[in-house]
Amino acid sequence: MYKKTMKKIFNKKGYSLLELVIYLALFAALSMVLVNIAVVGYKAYRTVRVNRDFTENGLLAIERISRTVRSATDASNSSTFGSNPGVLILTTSTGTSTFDVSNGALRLTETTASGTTVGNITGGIVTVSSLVFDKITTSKGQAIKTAITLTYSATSRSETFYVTTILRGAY
Amino acid sequence: MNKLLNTNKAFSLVEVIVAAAIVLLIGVAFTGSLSKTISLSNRALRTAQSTALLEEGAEAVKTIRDNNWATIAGLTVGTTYYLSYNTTTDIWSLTTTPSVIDNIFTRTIVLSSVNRNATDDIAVSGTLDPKTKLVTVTTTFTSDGMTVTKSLPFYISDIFN
Repeated sequence: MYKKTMKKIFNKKGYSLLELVIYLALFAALSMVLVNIAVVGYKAYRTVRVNRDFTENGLLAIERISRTVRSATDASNSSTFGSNPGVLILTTSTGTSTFDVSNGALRLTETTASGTTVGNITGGIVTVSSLVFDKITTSKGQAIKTAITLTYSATSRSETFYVTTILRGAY
Repeated sequence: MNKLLNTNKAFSLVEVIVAAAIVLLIGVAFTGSLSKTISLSNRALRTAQSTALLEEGAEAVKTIRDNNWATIAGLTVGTTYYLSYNTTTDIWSLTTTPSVIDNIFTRTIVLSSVNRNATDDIAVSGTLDPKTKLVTVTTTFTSDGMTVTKSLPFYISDIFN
């Protein structure tokens, strides 16, 4: 009678050791894959985010500078040309526009008869590490060559945008 | 009674292995698509830089024209030229010496001749106009092993005469 009860107890549904080892191995492999997905996904997110900031800020800076230069009538010689950090002082139809670097961002200061407006053109996680303006004087007018370098400080990665714009207002 | 006791709600080993394999496959496919995302965002950045470089190329050629049309007229049609900037004299010039920008971009300038028809419109065939040229600025860079090319064609004329 004792033997019969013993048999009943040991007949319960359990897991054999071999079963457990196999399942453990499979679980380890699966979790490796899942952790890998998480890590690669995070890295991808960081890279895409930095690329997006480079692209967005680079285009913003280039478009704003070239648009302002194009409609300007004169590039003042009190600007800082040929060196970093550059300062570009333009005479526009409404007053003066100045591009310079302030706290790692490209800053535009517009002075008109009604007052002065200041604002940053770039932002986000990238900073302006270099801004160089060159003044080109032709026999018919002026042009500005711009080179702006954006840097992501955490990885020291830099990307440079170049543009040259003729002052249509100085022809 | 025996049949009822034999049906247990458990998974056979084969089922578990198959399920694990499917999850692994999905994981591999996902990370593969992530690498494509990264390379695409990189390509977008390079394209943005190319756009600015193309605009610079066009304006630089115009400054050369502004200084003297003869410089443009003296160039050989169909030859690949490269832009070179002299930081001392602050002048853009065209040279046949190849150059690479930031070890990433190659920017070339190629000129084509322009014909005008009887009504002085630019046409495929007609009289050759020596005072007008078709300039094509091209930027190339590599992205994900492929070479990407962006072009900007524009007309340039001797407008100051």
